[in-house]
Amino acid sequence: MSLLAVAGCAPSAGGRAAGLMFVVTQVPAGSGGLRKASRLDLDGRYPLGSRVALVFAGARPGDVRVLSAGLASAGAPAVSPDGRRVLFAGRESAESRWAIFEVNLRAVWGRPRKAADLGMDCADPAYLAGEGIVFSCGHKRGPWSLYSASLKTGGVERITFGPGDAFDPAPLRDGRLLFSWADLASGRPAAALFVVNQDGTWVEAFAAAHPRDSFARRGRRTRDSGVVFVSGDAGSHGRIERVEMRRPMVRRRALATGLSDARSAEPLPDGALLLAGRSTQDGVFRWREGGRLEPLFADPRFTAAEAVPVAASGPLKGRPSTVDMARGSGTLLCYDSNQSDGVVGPHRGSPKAARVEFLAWKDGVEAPLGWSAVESDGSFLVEAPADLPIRVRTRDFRSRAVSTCGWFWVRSGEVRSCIGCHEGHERMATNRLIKALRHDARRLSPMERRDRP
Amino acid sequence: MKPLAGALVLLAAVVLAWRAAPSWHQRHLDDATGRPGTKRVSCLHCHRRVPVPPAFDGKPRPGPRYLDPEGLAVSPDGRLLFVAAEGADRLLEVDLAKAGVSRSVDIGGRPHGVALSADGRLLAVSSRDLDKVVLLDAATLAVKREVATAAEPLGVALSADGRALFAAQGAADSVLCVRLKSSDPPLHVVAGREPYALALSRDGRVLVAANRMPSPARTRDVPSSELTVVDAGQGRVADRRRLPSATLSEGVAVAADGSFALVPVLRVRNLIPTVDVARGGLMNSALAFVDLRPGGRTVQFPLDEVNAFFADPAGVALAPDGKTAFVAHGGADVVTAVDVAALRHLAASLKPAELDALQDDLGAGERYVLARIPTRSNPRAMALSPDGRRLYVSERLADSIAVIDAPGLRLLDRISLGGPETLTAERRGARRFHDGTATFQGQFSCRSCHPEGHVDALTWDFEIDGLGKEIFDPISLRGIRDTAPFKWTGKNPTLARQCGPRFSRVLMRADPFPPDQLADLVAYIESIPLLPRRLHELSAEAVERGREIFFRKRTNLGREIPKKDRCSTCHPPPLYTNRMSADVGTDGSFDAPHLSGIRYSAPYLHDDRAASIEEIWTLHNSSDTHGVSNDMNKTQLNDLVIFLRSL
Repeated sequence: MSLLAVAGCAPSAGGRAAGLMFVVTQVPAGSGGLRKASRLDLDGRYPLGSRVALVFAGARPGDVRVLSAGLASAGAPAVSPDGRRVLFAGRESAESRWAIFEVNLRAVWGRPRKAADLGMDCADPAYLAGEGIVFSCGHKRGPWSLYSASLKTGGVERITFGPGDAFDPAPLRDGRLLFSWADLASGRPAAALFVVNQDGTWVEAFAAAHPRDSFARRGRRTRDSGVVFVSGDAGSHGRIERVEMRRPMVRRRALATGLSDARSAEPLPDGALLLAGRSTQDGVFRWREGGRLEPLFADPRFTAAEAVPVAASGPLKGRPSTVDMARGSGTLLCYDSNQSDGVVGPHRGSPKAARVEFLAWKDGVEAPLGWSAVESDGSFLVEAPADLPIRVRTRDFRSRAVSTCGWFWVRSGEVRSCIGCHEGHERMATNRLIKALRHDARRLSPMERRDRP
Repeated sequence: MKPLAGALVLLAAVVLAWRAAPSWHQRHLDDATGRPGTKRVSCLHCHRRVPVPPAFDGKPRPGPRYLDPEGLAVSPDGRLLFVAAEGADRLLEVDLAKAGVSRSVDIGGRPHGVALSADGRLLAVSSRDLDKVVLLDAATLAVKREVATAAEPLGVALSADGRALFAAQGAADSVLCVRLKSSDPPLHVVAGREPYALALSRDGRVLVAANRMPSPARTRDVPSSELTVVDAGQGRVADRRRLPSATLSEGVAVAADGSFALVPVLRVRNLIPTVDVARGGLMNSALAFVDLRPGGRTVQFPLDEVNAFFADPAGVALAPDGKTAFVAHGGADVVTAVDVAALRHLAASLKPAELDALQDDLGAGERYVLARIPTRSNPRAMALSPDGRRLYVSERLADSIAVIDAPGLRLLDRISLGGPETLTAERRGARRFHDGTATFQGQFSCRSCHPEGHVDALTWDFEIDGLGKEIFDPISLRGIRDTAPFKWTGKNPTLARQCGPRFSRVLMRADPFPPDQLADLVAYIESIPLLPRRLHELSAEAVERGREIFFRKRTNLGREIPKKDRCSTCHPPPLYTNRMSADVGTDGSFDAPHLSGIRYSAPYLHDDRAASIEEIWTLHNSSDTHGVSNDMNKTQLNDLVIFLRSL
């Protein structure tokens, strides 16, 4: 009731949207920010005058409560699991950095308070279990990484380390984080969905088949077993796609929402989606598969960049951390480097891996990190420096490259295992003794000249 | 002067005692254990009254009596459902039209399996603690006859004509075959380890027995459980099918013509370090399809999905037309419906390498999983109505029966069996213990490694102790209440610590249990009773001779046995553990396990290196480091083993 009064608007939407409340990012119309800006150009994405507002479905354009009052620009809102607080990115002036702000919806005259300011631009916040938050931070020229912070203690920890931009984190039902990852080393303007534990361990590609040049962002778990996301970078006309968390993982399909330019999709408690984008007009919509697009709110003075429902979504799950900062290194165990893409054994015609070399990303270049022999069953066990982007290349006995995997990292004290090299996302390990476990992990160090293949 | 002198004397005595106590304490400990430098423990560690652990002894246990429905059977006319209420020691008759219990009869000894003859006149109910199968007149529920069995009868089957009775004898590793109308002695067919469920083909020729535990194997070999195929007419083994990496098979169904069998299994990855809990890193649920024809294939079809796991498959039911099978997942509160024709097609058409890959493919279920049907807590046994239209599922920890529209694949109704409405801490803890949702993506429950609070007969490579370095088997939780510290290394002083945050980090890989749930869980674990001692199976004289050997102080040659090498030093009654660690020559110092119910917990030692109690000394004590045993003759060793089996 207090929220209703605070919103200062009388909900007039009928049907199932009645009473629906959401937070929307409003970008001044005509500023061109959404069109021109790349994903992490916050100044372009949320130009001066952009604001975060609380709105009821069916409200008139002026009947909103501006949550980012006092800030020069704001955007990227996220609602707490109890539906009472909102995080967003904002900056106090045109010259200041982007920081993370929080506002309590129940505090009628509450001003946003700064929740995190790391000395660089931060955006895309999301709530975690236990008063934790996660967000992405970076400098103007990147790269951007994910950071987790405690709202209680203020402690901040970086949790992604790859040579690329990590952004748009969102918690999954099992406690992991879904995020978008743009691999800078690949040189392609692409971003795919990845998952990582809340402590930064066990990063891996989310099991959706991504075309090489596709751009996936704003991945959000649905109420059932799916994930919806926006495909297409800012600057292109986005569309909403869905991938199943469960079988079959490779199923990825575009949703016929009726939006010509989709900018965000968030699940609603009733299973429908809250969309922001452009149809015949720009605004916020409710949409359910097989149904019509239902306009909820539009303001001709602004463009709706994102819309997030204000509703209790239930407690979030956590995952206990396995990070031990005292170690300084992590362990990597591969069960069978010859297993790849769901094929048992090496690719047809491919030789078996005899050794594996490790490459690190340092100061913007790829550099050799070390090597290890591969056991006859394809396994190897190494200890790698923590929090360093590395990738693995297997070579046959003639030193020909057999396969190369993408960038990942191990955290300090993490024990990371791989079933194979680029094995299918639905592959489970075979129950057998791993030969590499017969000896201690090989500590990686740069290859000597005589060692080089 | 006198009071002053007295005070000074008293003060001096206190100071002397204070200074002498530590060294006296240490000497006392060293003397008691026979091992110098024994780690200090409090006086109460040894000098306190400890109750004998509770056991299933046929007597009612204190507190509310939950029903714990297990085995089910439907009458031929589909009007009655017979339910073995294991917790209440009764057989319940449910009038399905009225959706309630109409009659019940006392069976005793935790009735488990139920079978009904084809004409619906004869009921067979196993009494797992009293080692008998009770035959009843289904019309009157009057006991007609009791058939003695070997230890722990579980699943039962009756031939269509009601003339032959079969019982899985879990603790005896055999299947009982009895001709009821004949004076022929009963046959005991040797099965795998712990036969649990039976199924008989419609023509009565093929009997299949699912064995719950993996068959004995060398430590770190790929474990496998057995599907025992019995020629029901002859009462002898027709085939033994291995199910590699499969364990905890608690259900079995067989095709009407006996051409194939279906067995729900836990497909374990115990040889791999417990690093990757995601993607079934420890285990996954599967349905084993076993083509029983000569040379037929055996394939374990995964029932889980890539981000959604359905822990602890238990019962299975096969539709009369053989087209659909149902699997109850006790740890996920779900019944999975499976397209059997798809299983048969895949098993027949795929190449061996493709089948190998399919068994570890979490996406495979798309090709044969039809539906997931939610149930209440801990669905276990299932029975289909004769027309195949209704599936009944015993919801063990909810004291209810789920009624499922089998062709429509949806929940229709639920029948309450009338158990206590109050939920005790033990009951809440039991639900938590059997609930897989506490682990990452619901992959497994406490019960997955401790079925019925016991052991899984597997060794696991726990990552936290170093990859490939420390291999441990789960310790039985039966009778564990007063045996702190816990864990093989004795690191955890309480069960709350054992099951707390560290456990969630190492195994569950999810949020730790909240304090209230942890307290419930501990209350349940502390309440798990021991299995019956079954002293009637053992020679009383041999037990007494074995007891003398256990407590002996001199060898056969009269040499005094050092205190540290006496059995009773580390394993003193009543718990048969001194709750201290000792190195007995098994590659480390380990907490002395309690010996109560040891007969049921093979294999032995921390890494399962001894397949039997005998092997502890015959294979792994060549230097008399684990007690002095090399002077014993075969008879003495047998007597010692028999004594231990009596505990």
